[in-house]
Amino acid sequence: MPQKRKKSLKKKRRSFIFIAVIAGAVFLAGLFLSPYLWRRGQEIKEWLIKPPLLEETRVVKLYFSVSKEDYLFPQERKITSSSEVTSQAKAILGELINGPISSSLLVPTIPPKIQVRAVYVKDKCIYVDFSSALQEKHPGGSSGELLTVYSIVNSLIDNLPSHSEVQILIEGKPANTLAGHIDIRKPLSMNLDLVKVSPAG
Amino acid sequence: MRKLGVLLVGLSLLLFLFVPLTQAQIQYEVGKVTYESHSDYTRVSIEVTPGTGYVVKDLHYPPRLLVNLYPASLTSLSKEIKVGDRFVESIRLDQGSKGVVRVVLDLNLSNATSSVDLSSDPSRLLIEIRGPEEDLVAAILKEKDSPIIREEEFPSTAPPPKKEKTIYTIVLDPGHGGKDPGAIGRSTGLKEKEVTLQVAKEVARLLRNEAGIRVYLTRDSDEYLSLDRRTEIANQLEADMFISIHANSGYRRNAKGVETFFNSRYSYGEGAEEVAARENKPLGSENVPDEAKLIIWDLIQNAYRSESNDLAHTVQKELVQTTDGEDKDRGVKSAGFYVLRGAAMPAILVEIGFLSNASEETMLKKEDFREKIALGIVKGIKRYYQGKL
Repeated sequence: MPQKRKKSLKKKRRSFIFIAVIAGAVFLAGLFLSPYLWRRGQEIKEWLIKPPLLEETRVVKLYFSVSKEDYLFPQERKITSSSEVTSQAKAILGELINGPISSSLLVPTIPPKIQVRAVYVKDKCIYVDFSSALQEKHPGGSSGELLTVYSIVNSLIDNLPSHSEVQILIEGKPANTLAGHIDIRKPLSMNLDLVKVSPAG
Repeated sequence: MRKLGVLLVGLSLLLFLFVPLTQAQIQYEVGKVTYESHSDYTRVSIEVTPGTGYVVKDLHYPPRLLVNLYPASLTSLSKEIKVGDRFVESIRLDQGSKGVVRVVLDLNLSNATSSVDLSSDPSRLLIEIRGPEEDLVAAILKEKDSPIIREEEFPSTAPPPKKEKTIYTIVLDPGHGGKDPGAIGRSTGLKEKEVTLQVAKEVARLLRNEAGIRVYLTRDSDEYLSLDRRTEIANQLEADMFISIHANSGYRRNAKGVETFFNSRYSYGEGAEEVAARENKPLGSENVPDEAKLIIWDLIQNAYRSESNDLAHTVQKELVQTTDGEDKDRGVKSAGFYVLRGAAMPAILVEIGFLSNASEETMLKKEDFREKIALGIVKGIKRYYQGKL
């Protein structure tokens, strides 16, 4: 009997150590994994809590070329997008590429069917990544190039005043120029010298 | 049972301990650095761990080539190898920020060209330094009677000191060329690169008859030249004037006329005085950060802005008068032109007419009209430099 008791005690102690060791291992594993799990937890939490982005409609000013002179003139347009700067910027550029609405006073400044690959925002700068077609299909010429560059820059900055600069990227990379003239290696600010107050003037 | 548990725990512990360890196991090291001096180039070879990446940057004043290796680490703190041949003075290696090794080649030529390549078996980085792209400069200089450019180094500080000039050097830059046709006419398919070359050659022909003027073309055939190279040539020739000739194009079919551009204020110029003052170091001094050098460089170029403005107005006025194009005067404008940015001299870009306008395209095809345009540019140039001599 005592022998048996001793044995069962030993057995109990063994299983206790076993459980303790497993618990220890789980604890250590948890300790190692905790930063990762915590991060994942935060991600899931963010994902669950974040409200769905609401689409809103607003009126924006798009800068197109005046048909009688080489200046830019704003045309108002409604866009629908979420309130995020990047999605507003994408909507603005989409409309800019579509060109002016039935107006004999204005002409487009971007070759048709150009694709905006992505829009990024960092600090005060909006980075717009175009497909290389913007370079390939550009008609060239300093005047045409100036209008293309600043219709993009002006249309974005005028409507998104939280940002002050735009850098045009081609296929995800900074570019020297669109057609050999205007330096686009660095972010550009709005250019009001090219803007006309009246489209006919 | 117990042994199995201990084993399990041990194993899992080991596993966890090894996760960070295995990640840190690959050591990206920079090994032996060797160089070979040849008469026409110098090759530097740096042993690196496979998978090491690199970024190359040209630095000026004094001329250096910077290669950042990443990820990489140096076994020693820093290393300097004296070379002292025609192209390379020395090779310096030091540990930049974590995981980055900076390799700096101090160059003996300010206009050297370089190529950097990764080579495997054994994995190493090969840097070759050669002389300037001689074919291009040679192309400019191959005209008879033109003197050979001095072989000495270009000044290590910009711009060259103003000296008593008896000869006025003008660099004409026919826009585009080679694989880059520029704008293309909509009705007859006239290419910008052709018109600009024809007009520039005509301007050069007219100016060569003038005493005291030396004129060069950045290209005299249908060849491609980078925008950087165009002003680089003008700087190397220590030109007094840089005139880029272009033909325009727009989105409107009825856009017409001539206009002249000079560069807008350089971005670095904003607040640059303060930075320059804060650094309070002479140009060319080794310890001036690159950013500050860019700022100082832009400041120098901003100094030519009012001269460029004058030149632009003079040329535009004569151009409009000579071509009887009062109704086509688009005036003088300033914008951020890539090709004008590198010029350490008054620099303008002349747009001689619209290829997107059918009637102007037809005019530009005619030799007598191109001659008129060339004459207008020449008159402008002469009136400007006569006020300067």
